[in-house]
Amino acid sequence: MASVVKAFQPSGILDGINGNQLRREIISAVETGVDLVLLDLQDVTFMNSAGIGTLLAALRAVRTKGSNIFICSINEQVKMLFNMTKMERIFNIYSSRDEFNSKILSPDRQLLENH
Amino acid sequence: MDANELRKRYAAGERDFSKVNLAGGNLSGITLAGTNFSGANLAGTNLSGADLFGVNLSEANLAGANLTGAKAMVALLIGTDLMGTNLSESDLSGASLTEANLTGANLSMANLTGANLSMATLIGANLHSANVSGLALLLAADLSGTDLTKTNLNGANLAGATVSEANLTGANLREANLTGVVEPRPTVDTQSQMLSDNCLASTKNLFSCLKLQSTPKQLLILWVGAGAMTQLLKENAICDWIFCGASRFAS
Repeated sequence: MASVVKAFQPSGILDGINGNQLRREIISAVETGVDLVLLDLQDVTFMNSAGIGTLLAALRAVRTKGSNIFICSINEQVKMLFNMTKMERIFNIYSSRDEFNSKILSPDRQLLENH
Repeated sequence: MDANELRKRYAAGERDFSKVNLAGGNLSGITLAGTNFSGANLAGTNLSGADLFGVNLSEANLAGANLTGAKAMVALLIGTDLMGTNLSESDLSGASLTEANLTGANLSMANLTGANLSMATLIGANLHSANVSGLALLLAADLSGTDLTKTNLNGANLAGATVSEANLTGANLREANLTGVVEPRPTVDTQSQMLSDNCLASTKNLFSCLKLQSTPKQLLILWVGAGAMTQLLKENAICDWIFCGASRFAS
């Protein structure tokens, strides 16, 4: 069966409140049959530790359902935050949407929609 | 390999012991500072009082091991299996325990100052009187049913952590950043009323602990149902509520 990849593209500041909203959206997508989640962070200008905490909480929930979260297009500040919290190894991070598409997407793995 | 051979090889300058099998051995009081034990099998091993300064124990199996009073400052325990491990009175200050499995582990009176426990599983772990202060990170850590009685979480960052059923009696949460702390089953919006009530009960419990301390200087935000948050703000005269303050790591 073809697997479904769904992309989320939050924008602006990713803090505890926005992050929790995103976390709920991701979990509900996975509960309704999405196999893989792509988190495109190109429009995220700033993330705080609460933001990363909610993303990790989402990852934990998604993994228990046998799914996974991929991240692409993070800026320098977000990269630094991932590095400082030693969380860069936990997520699969791609430099751009194109890199993700070429490495992960295939005829069997279609991108559902942009969010 | 047994304890004697290990001591000999360490004395001869050998430091790489990755993937060795010393399960059930007695290594009490041994000095192994700066060694690499990644992927090693140390299940049930007695390492009480051992000098494990900076040791790499990532992906090792330490389930049921005895590390009472071990000195494991800045050790690497990434993804390590520490199920039911006795780490009471151990010094894990500055250690990396990301994604470690500490289910049922005994960390009472342990020193976890500045340790990184992000994504670690601490279900049913005992952190009675443990020191998890400094800049300790517990991002998205699972603290379900964890005993946090008298635990010092001063300055710890618990964003995204799960704290359902945790016992926080007497815990010191001064300046702790609890932003986005996940309360029991918060994902089902259709049950928000029921959820709010659950959250309210456990959050009230948390505040009754907080009130024992002086007014928190930094801001605390709990992710609770909207109803619970409104209710809390109505009921509590707690000052210094600042929404979404950037953390010390991001600001």
